[in-house]
Amino acid sequence: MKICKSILLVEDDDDIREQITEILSEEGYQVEAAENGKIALDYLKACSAEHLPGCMILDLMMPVMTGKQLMEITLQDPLFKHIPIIVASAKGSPSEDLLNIQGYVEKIKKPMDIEELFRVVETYCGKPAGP
Amino acid sequence: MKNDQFLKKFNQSEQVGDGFFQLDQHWIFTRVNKVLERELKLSREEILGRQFQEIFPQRNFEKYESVMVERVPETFIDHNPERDTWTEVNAYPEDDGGMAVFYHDLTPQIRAENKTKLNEERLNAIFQYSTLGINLFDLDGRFLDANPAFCKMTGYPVEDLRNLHKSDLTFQKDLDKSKSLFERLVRGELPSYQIEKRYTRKDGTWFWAQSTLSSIRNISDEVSSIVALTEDITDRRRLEREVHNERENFRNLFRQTPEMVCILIGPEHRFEFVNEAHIKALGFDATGMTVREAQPESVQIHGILDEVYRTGETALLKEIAVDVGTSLRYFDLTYAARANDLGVIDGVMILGTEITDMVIGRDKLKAAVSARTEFLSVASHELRTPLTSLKLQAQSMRRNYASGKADAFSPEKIKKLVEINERQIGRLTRLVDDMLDFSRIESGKLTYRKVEGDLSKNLQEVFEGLKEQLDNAHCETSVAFESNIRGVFDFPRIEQVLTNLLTNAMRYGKGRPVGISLTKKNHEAILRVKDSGPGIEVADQQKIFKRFERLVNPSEVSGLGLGLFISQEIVEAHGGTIRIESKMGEGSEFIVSLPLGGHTK
Repeated sequence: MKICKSILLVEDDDDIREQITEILSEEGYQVEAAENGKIALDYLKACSAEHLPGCMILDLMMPVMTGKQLMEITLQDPLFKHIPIIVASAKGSPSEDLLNIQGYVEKIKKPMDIEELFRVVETYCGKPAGP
Repeated sequence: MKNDQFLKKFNQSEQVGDGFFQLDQHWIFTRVNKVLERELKLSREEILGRQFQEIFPQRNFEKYESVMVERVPETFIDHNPERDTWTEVNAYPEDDGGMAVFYHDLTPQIRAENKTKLNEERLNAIFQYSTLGINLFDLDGRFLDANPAFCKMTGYPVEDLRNLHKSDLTFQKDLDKSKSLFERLVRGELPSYQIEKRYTRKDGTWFWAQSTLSSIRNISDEVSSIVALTEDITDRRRLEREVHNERENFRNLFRQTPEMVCILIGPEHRFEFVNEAHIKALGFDATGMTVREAQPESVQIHGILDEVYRTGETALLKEIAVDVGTSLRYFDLTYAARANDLGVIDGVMILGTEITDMVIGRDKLKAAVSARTEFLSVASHELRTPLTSLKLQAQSMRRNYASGKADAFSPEKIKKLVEINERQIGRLTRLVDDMLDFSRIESGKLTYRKVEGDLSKNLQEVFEGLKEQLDNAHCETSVAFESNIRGVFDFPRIEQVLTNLLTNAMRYGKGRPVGISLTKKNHEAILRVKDSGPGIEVADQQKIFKRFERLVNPSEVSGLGLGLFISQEIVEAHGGTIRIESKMGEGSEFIVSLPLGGHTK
């Protein structure tokens, strides 16, 4: 079994952030939540190498620092660039923002299915140890 | 002839250069004078003793023979057809049966006479058969003679004309035209003059004619009569007028047409004709200038003109931007070579249709379509956020229910779930309301139901309803509501305005104080909402009231960007105003003034 690492959730909507955190936590994952790219980056910088998250669920449209801006930084960073990024975007149309973004491993579209959320998390972070 | 007579004549003959010879009865030369010797280039010895016909084979022998036979003196003209010479001959019979002959060369006189006769014949032919009218006046201007062409032109027989004065045939209005010129001609001050005037015909009708009048001088060089050559130019004038009118018509059409028209002449493309539209488009009249002088910047146009002038091929250009100093204007341009009578290209004609409005309109339309697309994209994003929350909730509950997780349905959990639901449903509702309002404003179908009521109380309630959100956003609030401000309003709409302003204050000034006040001043209610956000640049302060307008990148802040647009619409529908006072770094204050009377839009 893959060693389960934590999940970094970056989402500006308070309700959604809380809901996903709770859903994944109940499933047995360890979830770190940040309400924008800046807070997420600060968290990553404060992490020791072995505690870096196993994957990142990233909203794109956020104040202070957008998902895209965060990705541009982490993908250039030798420590952070290996963290798989799952983009969770509410953009309806294939807008420019999304088309220009590269470097994510998977994209889930809001409103997402809870089962899909579990599937991608399991793919990149492994099965949880259990609640 | 008596001997002394003869001698006298003989001596004379040598002096005046007349020829003389004497023949005997056998036609043998017996005497000759020096004139004959010179004429024949023979010496006396070579002539004497020879026969008449041997020396003069061409002479009119019969005439001489008649003198010799009839024995009477005779004078006759002898013509030598070979040399075309004329001689006056005086032949006298002599007593010895021979004759004496004196002769005199008449060739110069005869030739001059013949020439005059020929000239007269020619002149007469011209006079009779010319299509030009020819007539003679005496010095008083009376007709002396006229040729058939002149008679035909004027309808007068020549015998009628001889009783008429030139003024009788001149159109009344043209009488003064030539009077003084004619007088000068008569006085010998002018050799001739030309005039265009109208002639009156015998039947009273008139025609345009061009006449050339010249003086004729007699042998003592005095002006004796006047000759006039007259040409009917009615047709020519009509044709000229038609051509002129046609050209003027075209020029007038070109002058006034909204299309830009100009004609350029020569290889340097000099403006020969420009119309009003061209002057307007360029901002000045370029007549007389070359294109390179008038439009030095339009290098593209110079090249095209050179090419059209060189090849003669028409060039069509679409949507050419012309910098007219203050702005760019757009034209569809046609360049066509112009050829002269010989088919040689001597210029270029330009026809330009201004399409600035079309281009600007199209660009505006593009911008509008793009803004709408952006709006739909933002709207769909905004709708997906509450939907995501609700869907996660529903799926999570189903999962917990299926797996029989009792603690997932504890009263605390349920309370929290309901709160999330209400919040997200409220958010969905507001989004849908905003979109609907926007659509109604766009189509002019937003209606207001205004009633009399207490504005203070209503807005206080709105604030109370938002208090919890303000607290959650950590916005400290200071409130100053003047009570009992009454007026006629669509209250739900005015409440919407305050909600919008407070939502904005929370959104942009999160965690910082918000101040709200409502006061009454001169029959107006003044509502102020002040945040402590980043503030808005003066240049951007009007933009924020436009639809879809948000100063912040849409990927950073949620919302449709319609709040202030709708608020302004509502306030203005109540006859009020909404404005902003803001300084960078010091926050923004929105000030709404509402007349209490209840204006109707």
